[in-house]
Amino acid sequence: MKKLVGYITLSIISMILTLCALWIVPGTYPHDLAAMVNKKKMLVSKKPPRIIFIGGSSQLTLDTPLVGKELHYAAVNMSLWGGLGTREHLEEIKPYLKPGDVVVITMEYPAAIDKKYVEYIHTNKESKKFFFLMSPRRHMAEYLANRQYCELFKIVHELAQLKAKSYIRNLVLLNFFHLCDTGFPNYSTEFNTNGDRATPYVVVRPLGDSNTIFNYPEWKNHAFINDFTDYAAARNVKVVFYFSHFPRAYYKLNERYIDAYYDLMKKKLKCIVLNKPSDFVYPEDYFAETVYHLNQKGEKIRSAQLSTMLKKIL
Amino acid sequence: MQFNSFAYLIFFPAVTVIYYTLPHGVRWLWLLAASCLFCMTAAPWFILPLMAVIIVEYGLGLLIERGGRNGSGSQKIFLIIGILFPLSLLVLFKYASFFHDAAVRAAVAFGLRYPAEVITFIIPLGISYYSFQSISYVIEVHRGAIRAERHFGMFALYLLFFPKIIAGPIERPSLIRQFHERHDCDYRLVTDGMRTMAGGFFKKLVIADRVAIVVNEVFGHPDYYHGIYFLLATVLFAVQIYCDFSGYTDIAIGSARVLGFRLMDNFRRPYGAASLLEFWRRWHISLTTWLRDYLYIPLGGNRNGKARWYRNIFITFLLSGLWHGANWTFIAWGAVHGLLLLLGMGTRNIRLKFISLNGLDRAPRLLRLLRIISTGALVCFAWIFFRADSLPAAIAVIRKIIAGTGDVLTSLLVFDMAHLKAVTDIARKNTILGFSRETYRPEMLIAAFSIVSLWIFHLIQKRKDVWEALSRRAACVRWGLYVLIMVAILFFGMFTQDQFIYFRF
Repeated sequence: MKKLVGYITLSIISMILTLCALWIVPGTYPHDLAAMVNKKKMLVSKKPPRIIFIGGSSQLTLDTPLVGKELHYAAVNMSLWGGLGTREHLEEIKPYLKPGDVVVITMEYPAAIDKKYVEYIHTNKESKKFFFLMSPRRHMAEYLANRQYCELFKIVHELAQLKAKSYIRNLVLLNFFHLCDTGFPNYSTEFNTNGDRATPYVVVRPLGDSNTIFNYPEWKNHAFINDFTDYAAARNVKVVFYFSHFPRAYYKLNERYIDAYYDLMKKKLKCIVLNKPSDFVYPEDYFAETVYHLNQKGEKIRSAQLSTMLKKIL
Repeated sequence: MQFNSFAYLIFFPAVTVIYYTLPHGVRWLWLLAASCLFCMTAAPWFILPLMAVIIVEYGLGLLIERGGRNGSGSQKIFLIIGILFPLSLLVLFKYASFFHDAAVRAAVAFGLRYPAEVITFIIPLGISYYSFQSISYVIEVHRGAIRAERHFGMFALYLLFFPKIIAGPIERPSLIRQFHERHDCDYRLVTDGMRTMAGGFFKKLVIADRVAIVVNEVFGHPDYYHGIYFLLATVLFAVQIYCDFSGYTDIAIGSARVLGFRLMDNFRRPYGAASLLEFWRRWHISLTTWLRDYLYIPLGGNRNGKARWYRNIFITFLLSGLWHGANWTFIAWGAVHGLLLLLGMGTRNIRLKFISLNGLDRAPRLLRLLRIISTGALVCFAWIFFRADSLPAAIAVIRKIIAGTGDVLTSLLVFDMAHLKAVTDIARKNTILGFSRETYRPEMLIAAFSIVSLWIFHLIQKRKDVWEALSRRAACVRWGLYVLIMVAILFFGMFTQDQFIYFRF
């Protein structure tokens, strides 16, 4: 019996050590959201003053080098996916903000006023996992302080699983030159040095709209922006909010909800509200495959417009 | 509580440790309590039909035995009640709405009115398994093969024992004897059990749940995929269902073995079978032998002429299909197996002549390989009915496979690469088969590597018992390998807690 318990204990220790080893050794994570790690690295590497864009994939169709050049800021596009959650995203960048930075926030309409989607965002475990990966030490300390040991193990285990899969991928693809890379394995081909999407989205018709159900906005889902604005102001960081682009037909269909959203934000937000939702309403031929992603033509026009608007306030 | 849940990871070691620390006399009580808890975690009321079966069958067992001693003739009535009672519960919970639907359709077809409403029940956990176990108990008592169990707790354990309550194996009454025996914590038994469990977890978490992603994607979106992908999905479903069910069985057998009990084998490398008959001797053995002993043989087996023999085989397979679920697809699956088996028996002489004409009988290895492949193809064909949501869906899949395979072969024969590209194109690019997502590539690589590893292991196991050979090696080698298996499960397992397929039955 003693022998058996001894062997079982040794086996468990070996497994835990393997898990720890895999966590420590460098490696990529073959998951789209792992690009957050690369983006954080980019944020840290750019010198202030920086203009930092936070949003969903809609903001990936933005020419940030152009905006940066026009405004004389180092442009950092931290946007990735609307489902990540702006509140959580802003929390992640807080430690890296420097005086003189400008944070430009936008939220896709589902992430702002579709009740179900908002609920999904804040309970989405995938996002949690990759925010954890952005600052593992800080998150680990938080989990330990909150005594969420099982949750912590689960996240570390799932991330280690992804890394193990990445090794398998590298082994099969004989990809031995990038063994020490971190984050998303295809980051350098899918994103430019500012974090924008390197290649435009493919044009597909009809446009996908993810069946968003528009509701009247609730302030509790946006109050965090004011908290962030206060935090930023104390560090001499400017915060700007703008309403995302939308196809004309969809805008017309949901105008009353979007107007209510605008009224609420205009009234309550402490930060600068850059535009009216109608400013970035474009015809359908400016869009790629969904109502969120612009094609090259749309990207060019929106980037120039945004740049001009930002110039006026900065 | 599922075997692949975190709860079981806590539950099982706790039950085992307490079980071995308790004195032998009260261990049955502990196992019974643990089994009740295991059963009730899904829904507390699941215990009620099970308790009813336990009480009724326990009493009937005693009455049948007493009737046999008195020669009163009442034992036959008790036997019939003993068979009908669990069957009626099974019909009520599992088949009532199915038969009702069938009656409604028939009534509509004949222009009759059928106003009756039927209540649809949630199927209690493991009812298909414990019903059959209780039936085998009363029959064996009636036959005088075993004595009726006096100890109510031991009898309850026979039906309730947690490792096999949900999806078998469908044990025979001989298991009761094991509950009376004393089991000390035996290093060899415990390690053997844990190893078997690890093998089961590997099959379920690394292979079955991974290939399920492809299978569910293709069968769930039939309009987006060409026929060749249905062929792939069907073959992968064959892998999935084997790894899922045999994985479950391994965990059940392993769990029981850690506690000192020996459950019956349920699988013996079924895809290595060279005929359908052989396949059924290797697949879900506990159900096949149950049907053989309590249905096929009592029907007359092969004793009353060819016509009756064929009828008995067909009925057995048809009911085997129905046992799996209240759906026409399962009945069709059973019927297809029955028909294929009869067809095989009917054409045996022609096939033998054909083999001898080709000279294949002079190359027995090649002949066996061809037989294994053709048996596999037939089994896969039948799996289409098992996996499809409805009979029309199954037929559509078969049509798609025939057309799709034909397209691919034609394109290859005439070197029409543009056509080949068109017939293998995937509309849903963002899916596991679309391969455009970075996430999915490693999944497929791991699945392929694991399937090949399992296949090689089976090939070696066929020649010699790998575990037996390993047990003669140094402890560091053995435990090193165990840790490697556990690490493989930890890093490559899909911890999505997908339900075992056979839990539904």
